[in-house]
Amino acid sequence: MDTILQQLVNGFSTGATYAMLGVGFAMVYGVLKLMNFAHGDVFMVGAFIGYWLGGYLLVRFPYLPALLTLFAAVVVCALANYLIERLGYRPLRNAPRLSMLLTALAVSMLLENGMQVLAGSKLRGFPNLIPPTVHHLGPVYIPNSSIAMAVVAFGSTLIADSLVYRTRAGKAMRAISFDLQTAILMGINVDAIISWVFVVGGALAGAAAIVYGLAYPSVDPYMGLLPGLKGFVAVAIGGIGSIRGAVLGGFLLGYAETLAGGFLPSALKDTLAFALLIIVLMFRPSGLLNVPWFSERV
Amino acid sequence: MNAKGISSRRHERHLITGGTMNRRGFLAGAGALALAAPAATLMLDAAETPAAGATLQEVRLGQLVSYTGDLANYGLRCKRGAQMRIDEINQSGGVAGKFRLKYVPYDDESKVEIASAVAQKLVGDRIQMFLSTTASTFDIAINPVIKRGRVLMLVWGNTNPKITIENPYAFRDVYTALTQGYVDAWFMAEKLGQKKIATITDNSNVGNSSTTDRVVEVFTKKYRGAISAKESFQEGDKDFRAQLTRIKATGAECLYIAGFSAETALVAKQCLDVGYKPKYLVGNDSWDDPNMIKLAGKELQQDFQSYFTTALAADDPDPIFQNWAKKFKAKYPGETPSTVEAQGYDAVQIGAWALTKAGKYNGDAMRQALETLVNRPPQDGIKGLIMNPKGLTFNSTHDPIMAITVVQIKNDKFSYVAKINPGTDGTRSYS
Repeated sequence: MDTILQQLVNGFSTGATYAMLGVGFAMVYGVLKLMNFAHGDVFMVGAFIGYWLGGYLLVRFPYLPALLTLFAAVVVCALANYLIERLGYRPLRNAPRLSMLLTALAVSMLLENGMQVLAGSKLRGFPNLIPPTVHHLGPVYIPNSSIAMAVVAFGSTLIADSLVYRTRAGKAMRAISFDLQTAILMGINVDAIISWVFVVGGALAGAAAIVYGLAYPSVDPYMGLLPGLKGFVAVAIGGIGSIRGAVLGGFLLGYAETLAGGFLPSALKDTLAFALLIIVLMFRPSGLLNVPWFSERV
Repeated sequence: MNAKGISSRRHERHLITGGTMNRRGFLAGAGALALAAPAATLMLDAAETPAAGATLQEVRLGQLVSYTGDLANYGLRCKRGAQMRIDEINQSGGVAGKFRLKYVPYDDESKVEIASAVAQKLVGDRIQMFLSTTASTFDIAINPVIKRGRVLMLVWGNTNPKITIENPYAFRDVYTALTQGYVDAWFMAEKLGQKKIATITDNSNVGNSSTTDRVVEVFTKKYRGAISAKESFQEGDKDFRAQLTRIKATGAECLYIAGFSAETALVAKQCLDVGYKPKYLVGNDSWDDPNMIKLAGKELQQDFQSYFTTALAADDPDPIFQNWAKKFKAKYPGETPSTVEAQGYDAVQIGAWALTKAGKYNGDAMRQALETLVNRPPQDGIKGLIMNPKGLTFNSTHDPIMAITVVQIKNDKFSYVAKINPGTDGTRSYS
């Protein structure tokens, strides 16, 4: 029983990461119908900001290094994502969708190799921005990093959700997702709204990167590949284009991985997670929450 | 028409096509940037190799290793050791006064698929001898290509026994997993007095997995101990809490971790996250990376007692090693040499000896030259090595019989604890 409870705590960090990355994917897919492969790499950039700035702040200004670093990573990743959209995807909006997909792949590789040239491929340890204490609550152990992950994950997905469903800009995003041409005809400033989507997506990736770094303190130029991919899997499981679906899918995937690792031979961990994806898609091809995200109810 | 509405055809086109930026121009720019990055690193590499000598024949000594990626630190450290010996040889008149060594790097980016492809290129470039890769899985992957190409392969750090068994062109300058696993099991059973251990292994790497299998074999069959849990992970994994929670439930006081520095550091940290506090953490030579101390120094030294086996400790008392280490630090200020650097150095020395004995730069001839050392006593073997200063010869599977050092991670260093040469017991089967 104790083991099961501990595994439930263990799975939370994994699930929360996939949920945050998934929401970023879902938003971009919603408006542009684009699989943004570069998302995982923007996440990686955020982790490096955390490593550099966090390391510096921790030594020189030991008050609130975590919050300042989080803020910095959010801003830098939002800006990076905005630039990627502006320079890479906007010019291709009228081109066949394959071109945009290839650009996304190219940006992904550019970021990875660029960071490798800039920072070298040596693995670095993420600084301890919050004290690494582990809280002992009854039979389970909860590290501080999991608590930070919970706070940031809930906060950021709540903000993203309210943005999309309770604001005018969100209504515009949903309109664009429904029909781009009609949205233009209705007078919506499509350029600005799509840029905002990328800004928010980037901000989410940046926040995810900092709490991910606190939980798994190892930073290298290729770290964003697998989490980004799993974020996309989370979206596919939960429902393509739905924010709440992405969160659901993220936690489902994270827990499937952890519980598989906990109760079956650990070599099957990843295999089972992706097998889950295949099974879900076999029965519900559009994901579990099979509702387009522009609808008022989910 | 309102202010936000479409007021001109140009504006409409702007909204639909996304701006007046020249798409071709941008893509060209982005493409150039993407190409420039790897080209820049290639140029940096080329600048390091020495210019050709006047009267000596220049022969190429290749190295197919990870210069980028997860295993980059191991590859770069080996390169420094190798480069040191190459420079020494070239400055003192070349190999046998006839040949000048030129170092030719091939990067496998810590990815097996790329290693195989790059091995083809190496063979195609007619390189006749080279230092092999950073991990056993890679060596096994390139074996067929190297065998067909008849190139002399100098294995400097990988321990899976199959590498040399499968490939007659491969010669190792270091122990195999059989010996290392034996020494690890002996250390945990006799020196740490453990009757029950748990293991967690990097299964994506056959060097690590074969060492753990050997530890299990010797610990259970020779020392009659118990293995309370046998967990695994893949290289690149970040979350080990599921496996550690299971290990914690078995209550083992000693955890054997066979994995590279990236994963081992995270395993050590996550033990605390799930409330698992074993007394000892023990590992194999995959731990031998100073980066480990940067990544998890506090946990490895203060929360647990951490030991691992490797060829040499950085503070090995042997004067031959100390002298060599001093020269190394003079050549590369800021770097502390230990096993990996010595392995690169020794591999070049073995290659140079083979070239001298063969008299010509040919894979088959050099292989036959090294085969004259099989099953000879060590004092008749290759001299001038750091790991085996008394001389190196090979057993029938082209591996040396040599001593293994146990080190403890203490004072932010890898500290010498003991040196053991188990002899033939190390490779004996205990089933």
